[in-house]
Amino acid sequence: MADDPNPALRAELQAAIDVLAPQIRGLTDLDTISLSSDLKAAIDQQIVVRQRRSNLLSSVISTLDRVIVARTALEADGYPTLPTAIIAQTLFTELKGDNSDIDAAVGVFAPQATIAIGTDPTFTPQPAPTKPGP
Amino acid sequence: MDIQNTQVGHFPLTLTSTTAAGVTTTVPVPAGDVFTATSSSPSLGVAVANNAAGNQELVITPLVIESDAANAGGGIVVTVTDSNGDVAGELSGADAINIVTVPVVPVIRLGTPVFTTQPAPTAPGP
Repeated sequence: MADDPNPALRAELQAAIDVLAPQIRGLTDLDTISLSSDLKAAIDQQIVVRQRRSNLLSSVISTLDRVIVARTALEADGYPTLPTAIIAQTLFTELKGDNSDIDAAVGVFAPQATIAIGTDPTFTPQPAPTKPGP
Repeated sequence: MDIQNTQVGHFPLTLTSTTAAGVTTTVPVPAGDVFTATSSSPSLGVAVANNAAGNQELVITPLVIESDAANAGGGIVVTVTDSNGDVAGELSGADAINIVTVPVVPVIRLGTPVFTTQPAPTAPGP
């Protein structure tokens, strides 16, 4: 099993869920008693708000869980090593032949040249300009 | 790069080519390939001329007294292209041109003397 990618974040998210859970339960209980319609609406709204936040927190934790599963699978696949593929000598010879053909094809082309301005200029004198800069 | 306003700069122009293996070499300039230079500022004249060896070179000529950071100028970019459409060369970034005045070297000068009196010394010379 791979390590948790971010145990501190997981703890923070779980702590937030733990705060929300009793609030949601209490609000749900409140919702069952006789209340004015305005108060009932206010309670219903807070149930929705807190349940949504709880769902989003749980979603992030689920994603962390999936990262652990994916990393475990990656390690099981041998990551980070990936060995050189061993093939039959005949196949390797064929491959080298193909590689030679590709080199020959590349040799058909030449790269565009680049203009190089020398970095070692020489200087000749001139009268100082009279016009101000810049 | 600074150039003094009393100087004309002559830069060699060549062509380079990089192989697939990443090796950069200088390649001959094909006959008929003509270089053209442009300057990002009218304060710096640029041209392409043949040097004594008959090779094309970039010639930059300061046309103003000063163009640098001190007067909100300088950083002049020079671009060289050619008739073959090769990748342009540039004097830019740290190589961009600043036109500077000739540094003045301070000289110590002795002023007109003023004489005051003193008692005659008693020690013999010299």
